[in-house]
Amino acid sequence: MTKRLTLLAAAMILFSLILAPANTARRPPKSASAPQAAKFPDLSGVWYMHGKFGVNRDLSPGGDLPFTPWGLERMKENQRELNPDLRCLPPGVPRMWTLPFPFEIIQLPGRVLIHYEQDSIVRDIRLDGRAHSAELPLYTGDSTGKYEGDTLVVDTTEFNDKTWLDSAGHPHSDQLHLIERISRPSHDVLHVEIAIDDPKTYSKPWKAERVFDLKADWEISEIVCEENNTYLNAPDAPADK
Amino acid sequence: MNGRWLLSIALAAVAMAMISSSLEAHHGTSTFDMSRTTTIKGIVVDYQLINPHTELTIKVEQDDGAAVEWNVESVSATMLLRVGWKRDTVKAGDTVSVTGHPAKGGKPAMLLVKAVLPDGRELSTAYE
Repeated sequence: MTKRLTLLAAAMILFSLILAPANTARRPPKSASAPQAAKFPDLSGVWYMHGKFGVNRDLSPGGDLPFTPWGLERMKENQRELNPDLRCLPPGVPRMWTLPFPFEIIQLPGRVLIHYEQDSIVRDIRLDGRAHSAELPLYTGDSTGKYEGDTLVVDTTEFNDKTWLDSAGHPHSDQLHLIERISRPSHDVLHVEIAIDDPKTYSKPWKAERVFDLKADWEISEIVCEENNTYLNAPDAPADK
Repeated sequence: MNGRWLLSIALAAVAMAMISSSLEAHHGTSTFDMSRTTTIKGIVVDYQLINPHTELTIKVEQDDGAAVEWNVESVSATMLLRVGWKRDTVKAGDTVSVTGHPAKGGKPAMLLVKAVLPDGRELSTAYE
């Protein structure tokens, strides 16, 4: 028995030695993350949308957007189809900013995590200078970021086209390039500017903004979409859902 | 030029119409007539404080004496907990009065706006 344990331990050490170079390769370079650790604005806390959900759900400024023909067709499709989160698919970004659930910003040296209560999604924004990369298109895209003065600027690409831009069903394609500028104009207020550049869906870039209130006494809880979702297994659910 | 203007206006009108209808396109709210509210009073049959939609079933006696079970849907348990709802806020057998947005098409269902509990307390939904 002791001999077997010794062999097992030896095998584990051998495997860890083989895997070590791969893990090291994935680790962000120390020099790249060092400058960000020096000083950055405090955006941390639990935040919740300012004002009513009914006002926040639609990102389009004034309801008029420069659709391309493809984008307009996709908009019509979205009106016919089920809201993707009724199927418990991730809402993605920037739609997360239009949902009536809180999120927490956690700032680490070289990284920012945004923990959304909806579906317990965590968005990992790296600040270490590495370029965008994703083997597959993603629901929340691939996010890099940097601090510019008091603002965190998040640059996101590598999206799939399975999510809506907002809770009003505005479409996007896999060409979406999203830039979010996150700042904290006062202790209790978070401001997010959302710049959308998606030439396949919109003939020119456009912007929206959202404001969030600090919820100092809230903690992020858990929402499991599959637990009590009337529409999850309803193939014949009405199209107006 | 006139043709282009007409096309632009037509496209804008189509876009506006779609966006208006899309305002209904969120988790379940399109099922309900958000422009109306109705109030029912009855006996709690079931109450589940659960994600992503809390459910309350209430048996309401109609004028003709027949009882109808209403399904009262609400938002996530996480958000209701933040405005005072608890797992034992109501239990089967309690008499409650509930106000909400009624289902389209006349089904006995509504989206919760507020409830008056057996002890007279009033609890609202977390957001609209």
